[in-house]
Amino acid sequence: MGSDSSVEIRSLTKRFGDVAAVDGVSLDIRRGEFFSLLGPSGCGKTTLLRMIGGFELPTEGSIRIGGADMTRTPPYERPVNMVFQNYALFPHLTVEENVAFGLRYHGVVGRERQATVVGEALALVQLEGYEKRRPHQLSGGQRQRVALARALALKPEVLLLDEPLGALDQKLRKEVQVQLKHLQRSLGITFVFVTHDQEEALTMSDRIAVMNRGRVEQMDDAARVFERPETEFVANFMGASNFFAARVREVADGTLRLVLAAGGEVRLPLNGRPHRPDEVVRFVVRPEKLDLRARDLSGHGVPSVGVTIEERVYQGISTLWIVRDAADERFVVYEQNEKPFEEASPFAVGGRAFLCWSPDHAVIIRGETGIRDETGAP
Amino acid sequence: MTGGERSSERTAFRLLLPPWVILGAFFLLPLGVLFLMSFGRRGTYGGLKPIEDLGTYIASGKFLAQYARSLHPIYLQIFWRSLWMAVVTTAVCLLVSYPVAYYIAVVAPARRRNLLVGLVVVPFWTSFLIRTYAWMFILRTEGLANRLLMASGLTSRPVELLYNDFSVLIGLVYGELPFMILPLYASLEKLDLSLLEASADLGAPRRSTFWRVTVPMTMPGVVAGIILVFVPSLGQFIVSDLLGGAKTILAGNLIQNQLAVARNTPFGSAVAFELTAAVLALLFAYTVYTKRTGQDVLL
Amino acid sequence: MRRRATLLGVHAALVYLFLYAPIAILVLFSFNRTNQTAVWQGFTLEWYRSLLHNALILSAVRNSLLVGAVATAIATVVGTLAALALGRHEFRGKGATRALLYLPIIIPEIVVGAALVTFFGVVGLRLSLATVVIAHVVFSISYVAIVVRARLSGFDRSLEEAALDLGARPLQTFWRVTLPLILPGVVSGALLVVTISIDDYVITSFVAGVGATTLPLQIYSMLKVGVTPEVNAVSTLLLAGTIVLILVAQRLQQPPPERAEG
Repeated sequence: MGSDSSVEIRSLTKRFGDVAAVDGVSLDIRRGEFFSLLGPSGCGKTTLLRMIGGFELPTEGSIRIGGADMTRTPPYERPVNMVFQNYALFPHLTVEENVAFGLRYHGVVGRERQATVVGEALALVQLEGYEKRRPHQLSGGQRQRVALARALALKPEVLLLDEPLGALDQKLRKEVQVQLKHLQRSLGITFVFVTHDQEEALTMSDRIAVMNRGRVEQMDDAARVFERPETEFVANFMGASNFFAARVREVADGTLRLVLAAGGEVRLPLNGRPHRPDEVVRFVVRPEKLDLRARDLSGHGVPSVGVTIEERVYQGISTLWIVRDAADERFVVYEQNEKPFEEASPFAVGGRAFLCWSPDHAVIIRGETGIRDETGAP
Repeated sequence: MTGGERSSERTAFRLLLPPWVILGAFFLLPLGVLFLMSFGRRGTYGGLKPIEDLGTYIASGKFLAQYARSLHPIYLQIFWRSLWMAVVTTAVCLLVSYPVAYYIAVVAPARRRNLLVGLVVVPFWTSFLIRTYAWMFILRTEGLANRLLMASGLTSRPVELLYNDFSVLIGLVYGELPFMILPLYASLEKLDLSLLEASADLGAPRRSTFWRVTVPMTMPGVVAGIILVFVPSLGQFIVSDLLGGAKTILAGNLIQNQLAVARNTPFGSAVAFELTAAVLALLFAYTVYTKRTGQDVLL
Repeated sequence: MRRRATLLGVHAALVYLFLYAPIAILVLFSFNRTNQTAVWQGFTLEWYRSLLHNALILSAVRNSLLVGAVATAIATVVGTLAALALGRHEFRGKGATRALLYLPIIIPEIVVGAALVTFFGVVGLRLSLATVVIAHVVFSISYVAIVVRARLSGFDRSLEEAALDLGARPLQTFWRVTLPLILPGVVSGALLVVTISIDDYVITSFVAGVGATTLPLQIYSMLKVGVTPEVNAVSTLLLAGTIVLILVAQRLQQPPPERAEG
């Protein structure tokens, strides 16, 4: 706990009736970082954000912002500002008046001083010249930038963003992601960003907290969340849906020797967590890290699992294969279409193949996500 | 209840203080007084006859004398006529309005829809009195209708068009028609036209589609319209007073007459509460209906 | 298909004719030169001119305007408060409050009038313009509350949250964001209430004291005596006035453009 934390959240819970929308969340958001709350709708990310903003009061727990306790402080006394999902621009005010709205409450008074601040804020989002327009005369992207300027004009300690790109089309969204990231880095303001789009979170965030059913499943650097999911939920949510069940045979020299449920033995590097022999574990390999081979490579120290090819889906830059192993588990393989188009694939639907991967790309996950484990492990 | 909810409730109570006080003092309280009046008896010079002993008064059943009186055939006949007039008015309005609402919502070009609805809304809000007077003006013995009848040679002498059930009916239908068209339009406008196409696609002839899809889908509007027309027709006063003769007394006229002319407040109150009870029963039935269908075009 | 559409169109046209022809005839004959009122004898403004010299009508107009203005002012504020409470807050007794607000419109006018006049008699309040104002406030509150409540239901709560977020306190938020945004609803509710107040006959006839004759009461008593072109003239003026108010109210009730685009 110290000056390098912008937001400190401890055991925060919000119940609506019997439902805990946010359930005992604790996390620190560092000063100046781009922090994302990622999860499906209903996971509690927006409720958590709204509690930081002061729009919902927590049932239990505490929130400190900039080192001061703000658990029950009303929104108008918090050093945070919000970019709302629908932007919430005041329809009866011009762009300029929208951006100037909060200045008088922050000691910026006088026409000229306000005009200067408004001008700076609009320059920041490249909207000079739009001062006199009304919100309904702007495009979606422009409205989003006005909302951003309006919040930034108050120089908040923390900027909260509630899915602000959700209403934009795909192409514009990509552009804005980069601009927003750039803006955050140059201003050095802490951003807390809520999204359900994993790609968006990866593109912009320094760190990500993945939420599920009111709890934080994993909080890590963006790349680690993607490459090293800790739970089945996170793995699934990040698009890695190939789960392998196995039994620990031996733990030795930083390696784990496992017997696969479908038969065959693989070795994985130890990940720091303790494992005992005979323990049942599950690990995941991302689809793009799996390979289809015609021959069994286990003799060469490469994990190989015999599978039957069920489906082939051509997707332009890649081909998606759906295969099934002897234990009837389904796996997805993502193959880059690097070879010349005319060259026939050695694999055909209904044929046999071997699923191979590099041991480094297998990640052992915690099992306790409440999803039933077919191998009978806890 | 969290702190936020409690403070929200406090704010609500502060906001509601003026409406509660005004409606409590000048609406609920007067209704209560009127209700009590209905259990009294008229004094010799109007007003209330003093009650000597409340116990014996209640035990003797005298407090229900006004309600008993209202069951006399003379009054039953008035209630029956009010009811019958309201039923006929509602039926005529429904039959006339449905095709109009259908035309506005489905057939008419979209750009003209607002204008057509607006033309129904305007009479909805304009003076009922003057709209009733307009018919008085037309149906008089020396009025336009009689002139047209005579000019066409259908009759050689003016016909008595005013002061009968027919003129009251015209006045009622004329006054209430917008109240039927608007809810019907509201539910027809929401009707998903692709449902009609789906029905046709499934082989239903047009008549069958109308009865099996359109009508059931717009039932909430039909029910709301019936309520909006039937309830005011039942308590109607102006139309029967201006367009009806002495023979066309309705419940509304009876109440007005007892209170303002006969100075029999107890009896007038009793009839007023019978009317109120009928209206509230209808509205209760309506809320049960909307709870069941989950669709309320009205409230 | 076409034939059906044509039939429906013809039917609709006849119904619109039915709705407007009587009004049109009434208006037309207010300009008729004779008081043999069923025969058109040429255009005149005679009857309007004579209205200006009719002391009874002039005083009735004055009374109506006074009652309309005062009742509307009170009912608009009180009705808006009720709408804000119902639209914004959760509280015990919400269902009962909503019912209480609908009741004055639901209960037959004649009953409301009877109850008020009896009540005024019991508490010894002399019938006057003041009792008319009270009666009009009672039913007007409900109309304002309903119209403003409708406006609030389309109101985006996040706008108020945004104001709070930007540092405005709740009361400042109300004046700077909420009120400007619901103002069209408030004004349109007020305009409708003015028309209802100026048009009301039934309730007013019960609670108006001597010298508190409003325009509808005056017209009614003229009708009872006999139909004259003067009645047509004053009716035309009343119609024209209320139609203007209604059109303005309708305009204001249209949703603002920024909502339409989403």
